[in-house]
Amino acid sequence: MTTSRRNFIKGSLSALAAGGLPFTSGRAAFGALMPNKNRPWEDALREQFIGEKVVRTVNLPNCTGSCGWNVVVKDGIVQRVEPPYDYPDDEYNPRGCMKGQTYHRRVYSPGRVKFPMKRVGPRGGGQWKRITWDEAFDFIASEIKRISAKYGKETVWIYPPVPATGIVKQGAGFRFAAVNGFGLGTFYNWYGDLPLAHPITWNVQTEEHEFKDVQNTKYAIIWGSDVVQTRMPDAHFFTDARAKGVKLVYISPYFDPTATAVDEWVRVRQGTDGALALGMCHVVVKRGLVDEAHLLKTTSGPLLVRRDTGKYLKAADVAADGDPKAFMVFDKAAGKPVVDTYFSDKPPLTGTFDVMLKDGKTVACATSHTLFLAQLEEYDPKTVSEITGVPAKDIERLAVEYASAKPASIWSGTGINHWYHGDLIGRSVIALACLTGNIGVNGGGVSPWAGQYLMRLNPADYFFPLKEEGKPDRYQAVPLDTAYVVNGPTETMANKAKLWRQIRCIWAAGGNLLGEASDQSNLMRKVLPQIELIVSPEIEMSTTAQLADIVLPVVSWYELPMDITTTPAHPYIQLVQGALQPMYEAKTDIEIYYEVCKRLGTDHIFKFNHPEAAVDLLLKTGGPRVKGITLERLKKEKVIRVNLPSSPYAAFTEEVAGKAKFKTASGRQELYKDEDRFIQFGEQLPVHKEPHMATPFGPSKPWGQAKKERNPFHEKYPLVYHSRHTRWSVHSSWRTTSDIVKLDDIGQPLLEMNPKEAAKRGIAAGDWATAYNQNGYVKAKVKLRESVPMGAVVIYFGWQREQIREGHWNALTHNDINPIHEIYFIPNVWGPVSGHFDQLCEVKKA
Amino acid sequence: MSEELWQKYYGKPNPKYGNRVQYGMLIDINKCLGCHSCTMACKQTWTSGPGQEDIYFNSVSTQPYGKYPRHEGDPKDSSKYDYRHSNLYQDTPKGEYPNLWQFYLARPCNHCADPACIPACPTRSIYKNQDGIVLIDQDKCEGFQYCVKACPYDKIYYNSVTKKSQKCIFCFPLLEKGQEPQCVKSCVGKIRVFGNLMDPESAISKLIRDPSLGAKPYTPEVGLKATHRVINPIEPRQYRPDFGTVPSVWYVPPRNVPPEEVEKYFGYAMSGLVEEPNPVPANLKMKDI
Repeated sequence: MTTSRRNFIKGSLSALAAGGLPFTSGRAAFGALMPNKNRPWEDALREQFIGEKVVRTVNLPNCTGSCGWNVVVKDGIVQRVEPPYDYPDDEYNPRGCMKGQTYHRRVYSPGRVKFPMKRVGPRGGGQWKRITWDEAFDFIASEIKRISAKYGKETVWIYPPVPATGIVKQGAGFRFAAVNGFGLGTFYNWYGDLPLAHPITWNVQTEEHEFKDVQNTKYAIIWGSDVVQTRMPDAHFFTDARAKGVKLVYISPYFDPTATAVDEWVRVRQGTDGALALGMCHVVVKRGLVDEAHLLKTTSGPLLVRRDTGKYLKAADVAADGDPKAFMVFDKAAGKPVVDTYFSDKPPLTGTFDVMLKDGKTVACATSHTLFLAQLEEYDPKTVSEITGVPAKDIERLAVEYASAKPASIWSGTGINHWYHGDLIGRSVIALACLTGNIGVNGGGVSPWAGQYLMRLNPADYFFPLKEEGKPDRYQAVPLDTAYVVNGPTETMANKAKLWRQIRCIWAAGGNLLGEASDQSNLMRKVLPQIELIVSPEIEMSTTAQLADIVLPVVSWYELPMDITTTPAHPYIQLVQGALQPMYEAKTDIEIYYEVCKRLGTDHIFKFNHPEAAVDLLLKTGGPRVKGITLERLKKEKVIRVNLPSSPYAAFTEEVAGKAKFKTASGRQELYKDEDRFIQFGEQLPVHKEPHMATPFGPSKPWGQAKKERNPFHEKYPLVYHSRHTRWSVHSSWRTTSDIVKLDDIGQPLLEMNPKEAAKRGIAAGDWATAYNQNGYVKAKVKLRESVPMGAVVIYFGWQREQIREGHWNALTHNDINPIHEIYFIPNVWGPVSGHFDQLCEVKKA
Repeated sequence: MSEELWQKYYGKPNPKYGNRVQYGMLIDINKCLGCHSCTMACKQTWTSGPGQEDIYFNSVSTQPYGKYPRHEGDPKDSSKYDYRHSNLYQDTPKGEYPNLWQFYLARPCNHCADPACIPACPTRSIYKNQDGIVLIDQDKCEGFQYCVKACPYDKIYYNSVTKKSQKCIFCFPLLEKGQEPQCVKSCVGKIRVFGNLMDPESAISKLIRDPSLGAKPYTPEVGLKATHRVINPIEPRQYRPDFGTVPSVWYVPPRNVPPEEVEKYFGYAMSGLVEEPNPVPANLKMKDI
């Protein structure tokens, strides 16, 4: 490094050396203005760097960045942060955006919570009494005991979202809930980040390629993810690919920042992306661009489906001693169905066959691909153009381009997932990738990269401690999905008798639950009055803290003594270490939980009151992904790549190479689903259904029916309402940081509309206006830009309670729960996925 | 840029100031995320002091409507410049669907080869150092603000608390420590290349002379990994070269913008015309901010 630094300043040094020589060329007209003498003011700037110390740590917001920073500390005060340039793979250097650059402004924020506080007067009234930590712990413990005795301890509900951001500090919430038998909130599905199409098709939580794999793609469709705005540390993988000649396509209703950084922007009507994907599938099939081997060997394509029931044909259907779990394919030579063998290229991919059942009846069975082909007939480019607004010739061209480039990748973002039918849209996109053989190959895939859900180690022993060493019994929390906390139970809720209860205590740690929850109107009106205790450990007075009963000061990330963090965006596990001593009376989350456990008599199970031992336990019991990664190594190296089967990591390479089966019941990628509820709703195969709310046509209906109907809500509320992620915040984090807010236009919430749409309502730029619907309203100034299509309003979100003049940007949203999302309940893997983009409103001048 | 043009600008020591080194920057607009990481890295390092609330040595604004500072009233009257809301009209494109365009324009001081600020300074506080970096001596500056008026790029700021004019210093104290400027180091979109324009072997001058090198792996100028970037293979240009000061910051112009508009920003088409292109149309003007 020394040599290279010298090389770098060589120019400067040689210039100094040459300084005394007379210049030969040209006359220095203003030479007298640059005498080469000491300039003391320059030294003042040089000297500001003297005495600085650097601590390498990580910022822990839920943005998937997981970016390392060198925190520069002088006299115990953070001066600034700089990217450390220490990711072993240089492609990941530098990471970190302007929000990370200014985290220390939040550490020193005027809104910092400095000591424990107890509410005085009504909730949200802003009157607090300072109490001691002991008073706080005693009060919380006695309230929890009272609530547990009165309603049951599972009504105490802990909400420690996104544990991968800080596995120890957020995981401590899981552990706290588990050792005390409390309730536990889910978040990945409730946020709307879980692509339910993944568990449906592959029976995995989510699988995506490593970001670096974008370098291997020949064609990339960025589908409903404003990468330039929301994935800053990794967006360059796409812009780099484009500089090297790879075509980038962005599909979105809005002319977003990403639309300006790609080769082609496709404006699609909101919520109809599934139809576009199926239209592209149609073209791929008609043009003979299908990768039949991929379909035959790895997907549910050749599996036989009974035409009478819609169910997969099983071995037990045809023979008394048949396996009820064995899927069947047709053996043409033998003229009868046989048990499926994964990766076989023998069975026919298409065809309908008469099959004799064990009771002697004959039923027609078709391969599932045959059914899919029949269904695709409805999605000709002309019809799809009618649905989506994308010209038919563009649909044709995009399909051919995508299918002809090998490998081609799709970034399937949350923009197409935050819908009531987000699972169908996701499945349609996956079907397109399967048809073209783009699954399981480097440079291909369907990657969501949404939400920092991925812990790259198995945290079970830390989260849910074993009751006895060596035995499988664990302490367990009782999950309750956050969607039900906010919306109440549904008729179709999975495991309702066991799981549903009205919760009475909310402990929201590391997530601004009350500020960010969709369906604010319900939450405030119906849910909060039922809650008898709200505990909010916070660094700043967030909306949740403002509405809480007890606010506890927790350490900021720079005061956190130790933690570990991972993300789906890059393959590294990183060490978080303290750059500062805890400020004011702040304590770590783990210490707070421990102290409360002490008062509940469970501290001997909870055990940890400092993060270091927990990090050690996590790494030791974390399984193969972190084998060989010890605490000592992590302390030394700070950032270590976890053990992954390939580099850059691509999902399903083993499966698609035939070395392993998929984790589904059939062992194949299941484009066809036969659970009763899929059949009931006609969703065995990916299908386009109109949005549940945000459509002028028949809501939730397939196009044939939908186009004949009108949505009564749309007559009253003709604008699609989207509250969206902005570059200026990670949800509500940084929304009150003045350095950042100052750069966000005029630094306040803005209703963004098309100028023509605003003109219809007599609204000019900068006017106050109210967006409202049947659920609630928000008042804000109006910004006009052509980026927003007609019939839509966008508000960039995250504003705290005190920053909004009236109402709330989430007051208009309401999530009806899709029964398909309730077929199973597996916390954060299969549960209600928020469809908060599926909403309408009207805007009037305020 | 042709070899001849490079020779003309950088092949010999600066004819006026004699510097044999001219540090400069190449910014690929096509890759800019508009994230302001550069702005914030700069601000946290240099302009978080008194009177610097609205001073951004490096600013980013969405073109065509984003201006910083905005010129209200008489465009020549710098006392009316509005430095608030440096990122007003962010992501507001021009045109009508489907023909919309916008781009992010990141602007540090251009450290011009022939700066307008130096001769304008009545106290002779501004100088171009041996590295071609233009600096305002804060001990000598008396705050006359002639430089603020003279700089066609509006990149000199008057600090009303210290009563001095201030500007980007290309992070010279960090350069001396072998580091790149903060805006380059922190650029998470990896759009900036920094180096000595007068060194024919530097990555930046090679890239400016042969844009095709950008998209290929090239040898970084230094061991600092930061300089190893992928740059769109398009001929780099200067922003508003028609101002005549020979800026040392070069841009890879945006691909997704109509060529005639690119010309307004990065070409000579506007020669002699000093008004900003594309004023904000009345219906988009934010009232009472």
